[in-house]
Amino acid sequence: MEDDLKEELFFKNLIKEAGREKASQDFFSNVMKGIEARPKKVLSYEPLISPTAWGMLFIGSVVAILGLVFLTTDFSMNWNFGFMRYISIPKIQLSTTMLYAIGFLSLFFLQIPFLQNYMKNQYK
Amino acid sequence: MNEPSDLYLIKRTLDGDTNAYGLLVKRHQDYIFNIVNKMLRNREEAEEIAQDVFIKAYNVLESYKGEAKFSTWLYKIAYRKALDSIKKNKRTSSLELVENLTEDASAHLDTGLEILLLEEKQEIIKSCILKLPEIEAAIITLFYYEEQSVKEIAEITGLSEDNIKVKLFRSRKLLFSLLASYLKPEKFVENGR
Repeated sequence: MEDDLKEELFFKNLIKEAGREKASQDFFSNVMKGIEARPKKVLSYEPLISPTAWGMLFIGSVVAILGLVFLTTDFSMNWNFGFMRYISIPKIQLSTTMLYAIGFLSLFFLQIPFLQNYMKNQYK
Repeated sequence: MNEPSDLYLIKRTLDGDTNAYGLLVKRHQDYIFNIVNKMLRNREEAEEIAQDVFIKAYNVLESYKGEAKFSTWLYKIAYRKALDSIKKNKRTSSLELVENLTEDASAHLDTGLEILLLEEKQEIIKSCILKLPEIEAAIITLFYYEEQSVKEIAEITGLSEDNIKVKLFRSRKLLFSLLASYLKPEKFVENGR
């Protein structure tokens, strides 16, 4: 047992004395070049609205249209809007061009959350 | 100033800082090169494999969970890559173990080495390690050079702890006989023994 320990210590010193082999001067730069030369991730095409979302939209639209056509009800709400005569709302006159402009602008703003999500997924 | 820890540098690397990985490479490159070189016995090939180890480690860095030391994780990749290369080139070596080493022989060896110049001694020890079979060379390097525990070596090599202990014992005996055969009898005579 003691001999084994002596032998182990002898080896430890012997091998330490032999020293460690060092990598060449170019080693580090070659590794870093290798890392930089790695193939970049290929971004695959992904539609803005997924096929599932399109399917849901389609089904939703069909159900809404059919609902409007076939569902009839006698229910009516008799709201009393009499108080409205006390409120004077100024009449806003807008030209057709302005209405279109507002419409397109709203559509543009509507796209922003979708675009944001799309860009986020692209650069993840 | 304190050097940043491996874990901190890994986190920075995962956040996209390649320079942080550069620091990790600088810190571990000699250790990884040393073990690969001891297994492959070919400096050029060892450089190439050791570089691949760092590139592979970078690619799979996300899978490092910090359960073991980063160096142990790197040694594991290095050991496997070196073994793959050995298998690919179908190179294996085996040496017969001389079991009958006496205490007297060990004393002679010690004295014989003492009278050698440091450079000469280093050269002999290195070439003797290079003559060991690949797995034994890896185990000896990990245990004595890199001071990895038997448990860590078992994790790196996938061998059982008992097997590592047996291999260490046999490698020591083998190294003894290799070193003894290197030291010419004249050296002992010159020393008056």
